[in-house]
Parts: sequence; C-alpha cells; structure tokens
Amino acid sequence: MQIPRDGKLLRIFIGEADKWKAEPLHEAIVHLARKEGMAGATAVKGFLGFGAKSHMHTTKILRLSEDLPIIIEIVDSDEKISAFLPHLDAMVKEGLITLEKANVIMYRPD
Amino acid sequence: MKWVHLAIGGMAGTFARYAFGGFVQRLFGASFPYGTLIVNLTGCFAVGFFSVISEEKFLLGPNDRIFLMIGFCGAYTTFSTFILETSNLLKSGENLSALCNVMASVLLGFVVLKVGILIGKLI
Repeated sequence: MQIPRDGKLLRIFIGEADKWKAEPLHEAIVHLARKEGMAGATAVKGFLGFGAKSHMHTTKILRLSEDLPIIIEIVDSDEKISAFLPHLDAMVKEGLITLEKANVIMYRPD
Repeated sequence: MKWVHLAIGGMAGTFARYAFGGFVQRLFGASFPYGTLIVNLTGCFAVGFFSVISEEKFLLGPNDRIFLMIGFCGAYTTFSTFILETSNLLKSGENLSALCNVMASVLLGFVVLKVGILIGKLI
C-alpha cells in the first residue's frame, strides 16, 4: 500500500467516554479505518483539554478525568479520506474533525 | 438491619460526593483539587456535628449513627482521592499547591470539625 506524496491528514477530536453502538467510539473509528483499508490510524489520549462545552478534563483532578480527550489521526490519499468522511458524519455526534494537507515524506510498512 | 443502613448511607454519601464535588470542581476550575477539599471539609463539619448530637444530645440511635457517620460521611469523604490528587500536584512540580492542599485539608479539617461540634452543642 502506498500513500501519495500529497496526502491528507484527518484529525478527529473526541472524548474517551464517547460510544458508538456500545463500543468506545475511538475503537470503532480505528477498527472501521482498518476495515476500509486506510493506510493507518493512531489514537492518542490527551491528559488535559476542553471542547465545545468548555468543560475542562484533566488527569490531575480525579473527578475531571472521566472523559479525557482522544485524537485519532489518519493519513491517506484525498480520495480515501473523502470516502471515509461520511462514516464519521454518522458516528461522531460530538467532537471536532479537521482536514489538512500532509506532505508524505516516508511510508514504509517494513 | 445495620447492613441496610450502612449500604443506603454509603450509597447516598457516594452520590453526594460525586455530585457536589463535581459541581465545586467545575465552579472553581481545574488548577487545584477544590472539589475533594470542599467535600472533605464539609464531611468533617458533618461528622463533628453528628458526633455531638449523638454522644451528648443522644439524638441519634445506633442505626442512625451507622447510616450518617459510618455510611454517609464515610462514603462522602475521601482520603484516597486527596492523596492521589496531592501526588499529582507533586508530579507536575506544583509543590506549593500540594503543600497547601495538605495543610488546608488537615488544619481546616480540624477547624470545621470543631465548628460542627460547637453548632451541635447549640441544638
């Protein structure tokens, strides 16, 4: 599998507690990305952040650590990212999705 | 029967801590464990008050004490979260905040316990 040099970086900002059909949303998105043949997907958990509701989430305070931020990053071709977006539209009820150009320098599976 | 009082008191204390602690924490922000501090201090006040109305005024029977003091106050306050959050402050280099948390929790805890006792004596 190859990613074109002029790829796209898809970033999905959601919460750790978000669900999709009883499954953690971040897991559902990564599993779906794999199923759809995306080049790769990485979920990263943040230790501090706030979103649209301005509720601060932080590991420092136990009561505020329930729904920590998660960012899923996917790099692939424009076409594949565009085909993946409608799935996210259905799955992500609350969060932020961004898309930016990615200059792919290296993608080596081995 | 005492197990029922204990269970219900514990459940009520846990829910109260979750709701009130969360409310206080969101009100004052995420820079300091205000929620746990206020919950523990109000718990100290409550246990001081209940101890007097139980031991000096004889207004609480054995099951009432189990419900209110062991069940509710026991579940409402939290030492483990206090230590965890103090440890988190130290881990992030906020040594002064960690010290303030310990001093406020312990010293003010004694103060509000005494206030609870004094108010209980007035009943």
